Amino acid sequence: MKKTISVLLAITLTICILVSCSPASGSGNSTAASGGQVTVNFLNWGDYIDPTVIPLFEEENPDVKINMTTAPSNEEMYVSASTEGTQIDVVLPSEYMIQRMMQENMLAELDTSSMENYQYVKEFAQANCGYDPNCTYSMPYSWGTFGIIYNTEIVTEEEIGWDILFDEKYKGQILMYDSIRDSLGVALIELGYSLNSRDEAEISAAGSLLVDQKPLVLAYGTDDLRMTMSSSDAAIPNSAAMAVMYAGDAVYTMQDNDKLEYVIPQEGANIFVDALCILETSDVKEEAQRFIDFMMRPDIAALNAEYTGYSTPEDAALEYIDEEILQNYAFNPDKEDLVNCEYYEHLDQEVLKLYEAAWMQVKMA
Amino acid sequence: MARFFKQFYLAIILIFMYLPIGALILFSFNESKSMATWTGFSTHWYEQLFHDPIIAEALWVTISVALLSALIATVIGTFAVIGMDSLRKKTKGVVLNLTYVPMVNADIVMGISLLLLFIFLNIPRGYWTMLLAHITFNIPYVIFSVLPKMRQMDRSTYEAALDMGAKPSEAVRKVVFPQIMPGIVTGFILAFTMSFDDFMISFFTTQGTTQNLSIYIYSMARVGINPMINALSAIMFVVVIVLLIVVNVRSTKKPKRTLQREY
Amino acid sequence: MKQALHKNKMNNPFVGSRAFALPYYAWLAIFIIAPLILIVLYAFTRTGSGGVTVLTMENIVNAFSPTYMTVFGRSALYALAATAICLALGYPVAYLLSKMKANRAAIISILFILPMWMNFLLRTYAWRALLDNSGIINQLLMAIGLEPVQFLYTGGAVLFGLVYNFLPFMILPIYSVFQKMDTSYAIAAQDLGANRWQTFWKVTVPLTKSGIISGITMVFMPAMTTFVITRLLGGSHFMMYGDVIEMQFLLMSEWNFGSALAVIMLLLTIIFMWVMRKYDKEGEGAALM
Repeated sequence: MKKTISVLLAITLTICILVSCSPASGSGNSTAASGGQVTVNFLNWGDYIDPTVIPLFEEENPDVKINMTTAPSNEEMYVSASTEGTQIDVVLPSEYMIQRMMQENMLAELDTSSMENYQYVKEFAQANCGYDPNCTYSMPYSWGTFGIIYNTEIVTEEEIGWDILFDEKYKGQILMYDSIRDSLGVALIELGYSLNSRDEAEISAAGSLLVDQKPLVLAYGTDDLRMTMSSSDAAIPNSAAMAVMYAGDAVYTMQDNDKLEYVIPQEGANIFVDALCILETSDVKEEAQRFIDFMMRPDIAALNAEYTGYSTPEDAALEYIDEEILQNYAFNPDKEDLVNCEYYEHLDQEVLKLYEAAWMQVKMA
Repeated sequence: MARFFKQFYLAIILIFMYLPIGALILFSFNESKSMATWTGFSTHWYEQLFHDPIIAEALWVTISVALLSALIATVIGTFAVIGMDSLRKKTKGVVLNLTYVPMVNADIVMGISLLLLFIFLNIPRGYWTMLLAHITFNIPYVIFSVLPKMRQMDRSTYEAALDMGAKPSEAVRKVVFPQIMPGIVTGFILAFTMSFDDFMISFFTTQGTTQNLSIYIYSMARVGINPMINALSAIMFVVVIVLLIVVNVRSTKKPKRTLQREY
Repeated sequence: MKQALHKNKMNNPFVGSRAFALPYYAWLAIFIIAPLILIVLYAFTRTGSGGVTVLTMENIVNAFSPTYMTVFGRSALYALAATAICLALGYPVAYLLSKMKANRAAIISILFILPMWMNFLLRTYAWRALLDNSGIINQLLMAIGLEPVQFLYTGGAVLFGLVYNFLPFMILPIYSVFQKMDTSYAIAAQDLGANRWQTFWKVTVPLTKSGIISGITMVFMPAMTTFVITRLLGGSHFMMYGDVIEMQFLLMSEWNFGSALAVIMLLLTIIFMWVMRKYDKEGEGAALM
């Protein structure tokens, strides 16, 4: 026993000494300059960038070091970026969070005229980013839709719309999304309302619809739905038949299971955009902007899109992307299928509370 | 027969503990990114692991924070238990109730309240604030591991040592420590484990400037966890098992007499 | 035994080492009590018009509403059931470990901890891969001609995940108490004609009581706030208290209400533990079961 303890102590001591010498321990200071280098702190999603991209940037810009960390959700990223004394410079939030951060004056203006690669995203932003059409605060990095992935051997209907999720026939085989906006959004569209509805009656009707639907639902999940769908098999009784899913997840899931198809229902769906932004509090804005511009370069955008499986906003990047991925409908849907798609708007606290109340009803049922 | 039954019971529980580890290692060799279906053998997750710029640093942060925080928590916690022993029951009850707080508080509440504290104290967030936070939630595990050993201890031996002229610190070192050692070791190991696996508190107390493995893994959930993490776990597992075997072989080789004296 | 308990503080030999706990008290004050005060402040205030902070009972009252109390009750029930199962499974393990050669027991007790050094999320995913309808276990079942079983997305799966995750926290403290247990009491009891069953309940259990209480503390308390297990194994059909609190802080940005929920949960859980300890003092351990 003593032996073990002394071994552990020795290891700990060594580590103590090493830690105090390690550069990692003091990192995070935006302006910490070692040899004239400037550090840009970049808060990304996990596994959302091709691992070769940052080294490439640092090679081309030897005066900048990118310190990348990762956040699990928009909400956690927001808390981290908004609390006093934050050292984060660049973030990658989704459109509804960008709107909130714009409202709260948290984002710095980008100088698009000096960004060489702005031209490649311009068209996409003007068509799809009503909240910031001229990329004043945000540069679209990836986008995708929120649709239905289903097993073609179990679900044989010709036309797949949201109502399939409410069909008694598939009792115990339906997978819903475990998040307030996404699930209630589906119900709102099914009822013919906007997924940004601010109307109390509409929201509570959507809640009731989900309560009625609950007995049919096998599970509410998020990324774990990928696992359940990739093992979906008509031969197994009560196997999951369909799930609501983000397109990027669908791309991967379909690679595992060739019985799966992805569809964006004609009634409309959510379209999301993740975009790079610089925080107003950053004191390395010039370097941060250089980094964002680099990320917009078509060959870099292509690398990231291929790696993450999420669609790129740049048509110019498509030529660098593998043909097989381009043919995946979830990755590269027909433009006309997007006509009815809406992005999420940031909702006020009061409206959000209506959503919460409706969702609690579903979870209590 | 009874002996067989006992061994069997232990084996079943151990299999229960290791079943998912087996699956985890198996899927580190899966070609697909998913853990649901086996699509073919591949080592490319291992290759990717060695090219990931974040993993090495995150692993480093994780191990060093776990060791340091467990060590410091063990020292503070053990001395706390000894020091609290003679408190009146009521006072002790209050201290223990406060000790429960980090255990029962939701991680998010701990994380955000510590973040606010660090902002208030004007401490820049990063590695060291994460360490402080980890020590905080580790101490209760040490205290509740050492506490039962302390209750069970034979007080008369300590008293005898004092009567014979030993100073309290000397008596504690020579008489108390050996008796509560199993509790201290348990506490250290549990603290290390808690720290190793923490995500939410680490995330908020570093405020996005340093990160450990858990933060990296949880933040992958949005796009799906990359199996290179499975590969990393497999490697870590093998390393620890090998270390365990080496230490064990070395200590059994030693002559019996010295071994007995150690205990 | 009784006498030892009632010794007043002057007789406690450890009076001289009270200062040993001072670093912990300092730590307690800065890192536990100060943040706690902060949470309590949040719980009793709200930001009124114009950004002014006003005192209010509203959050606390809302937190006691039936919806949130139901969630609390459900979380407590699951945590309690998981604790009971952990105790039932873990106690024999601790006992068997204590009967082994010290060296071997040390290694096996490390083996119980080792799985927890693999990331929790990953292990839970691994269970999903095993328990899935077309997962490894069901394929084995079908291979020997049995019907596949729906393991995932049930309340049982949630319980299963909790037990898996917390079992070592029950085994270790009980084992460390067993290690130095005075076996002469048990032998004496048997000499006096007690059968094995009586010896176990009347002698062994009371002697390991302190380990059992520590184990219960370390399983029940954290189990109250886990959330990933309900999501990944239980299919998230309902919310646990940890989910609700997280939702208030992150999604709703209602830190005041979130704090109120957290304060209530702390209070109720600590009262529960306190009552249990009291009850235990009178029942001399037997009441625990």
